[in-house]
Amino acid sequence: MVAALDDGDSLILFPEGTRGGGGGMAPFQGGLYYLARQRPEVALVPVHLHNLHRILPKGEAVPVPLLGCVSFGPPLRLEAGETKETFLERARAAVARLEPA
Amino acid sequence: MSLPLDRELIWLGGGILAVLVVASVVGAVLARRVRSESGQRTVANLNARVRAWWAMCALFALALLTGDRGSIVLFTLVSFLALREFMTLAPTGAGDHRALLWIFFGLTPIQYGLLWIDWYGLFSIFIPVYAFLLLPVRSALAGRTERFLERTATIQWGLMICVYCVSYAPALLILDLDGYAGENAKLLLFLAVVVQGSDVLQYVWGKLFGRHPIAPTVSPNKTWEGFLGGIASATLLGTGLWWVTPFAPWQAALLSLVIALMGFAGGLTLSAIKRDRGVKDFGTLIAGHGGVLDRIDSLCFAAPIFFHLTRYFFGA
Repeated sequence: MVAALDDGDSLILFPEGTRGGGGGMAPFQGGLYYLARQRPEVALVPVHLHNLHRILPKGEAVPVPLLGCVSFGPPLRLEAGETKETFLERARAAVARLEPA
Repeated sequence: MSLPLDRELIWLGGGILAVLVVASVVGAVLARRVRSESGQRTVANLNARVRAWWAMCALFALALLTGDRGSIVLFTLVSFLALREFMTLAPTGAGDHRALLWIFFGLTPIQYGLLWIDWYGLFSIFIPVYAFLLLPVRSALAGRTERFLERTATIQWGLMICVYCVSYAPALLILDLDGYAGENAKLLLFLAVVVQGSDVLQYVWGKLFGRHPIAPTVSPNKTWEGFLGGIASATLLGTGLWWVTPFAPWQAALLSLVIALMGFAGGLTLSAIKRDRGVKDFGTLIAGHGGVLDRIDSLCFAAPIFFHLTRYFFGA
């Protein structure tokens, strides 16, 4: 993943590590933090995908064509000296803020 | 019926074109004249609506010109898009996924397919009898019982409004009427002009003279002035179009009144749903109007009643 970033590519990460059942966001996995620590200059853009658990619930194969909503937030970066827990919680909050009312 | 072009249809199409041109000119003049900020916003929205009307009329004309089949395809797409908007807001649950798949990819195409093959008998009962009985079974088989009645009722309402009711508009094309064979496209156009004209006229009357809201908790934009002026002028509009229909002028007047009243009822009822779900519009697909369902809410209520009244009193 670091090599892909170094090649100038963008990466899409799903930091929950799985699809949820619509009951709220799962805690973020550590990969996001380790990647940010290795390349702290990379901008991390929070993206919230709304309604996906209804469009394609876990275990189903065919999506229902309901309307979804993709929201983008202001980019964040790993701050100097930030611990893994604080950073992951901050990143998670940045995504949660994007959820449509 | 292949190319349903006749003299009356050309006159009606020309009239609609003239109204669109006038609306665009008025909009352009207002955009220059109006200075106040709120006035500017209203005019900008008005012009967005007029531009969307051009697109919708072009689409509808294209469908009518391709004959009955084109109209059936157009309304299938309309139902599909409306259903998307409805089910997105509807509180369905995890156990409803398969039932929803059935609605989108099975029941909706079948309902319009029955029009395609001209099977009126099954068309008229397919959703209320077969779909309404079998859908809850599918949801029950999924084993989730929480909010079961609410979920089932919601799904059935969405299917009723977005598919069953809407499909009655193109059903006018397969209606056998005395001495009107091959001319049914004009009946569909008559319904569309009166129901949408009524919406526009209620909007105009309401904007110009609206003071007293009818149901402020449901829709603050619906006023007695808009209602009475809009319904009366839409009835006059429909009466003036009796020559495209199989009706005498007084019959066209009564049916136009029913269409306009049902259209108002549709707009009000779907507003109540929007209020309940905490949204202003069902979607954003049609600039200035909101979603597809916002545009066809009045048609949903008017089409089945207009169809059945016409069928009962004028059917061959």
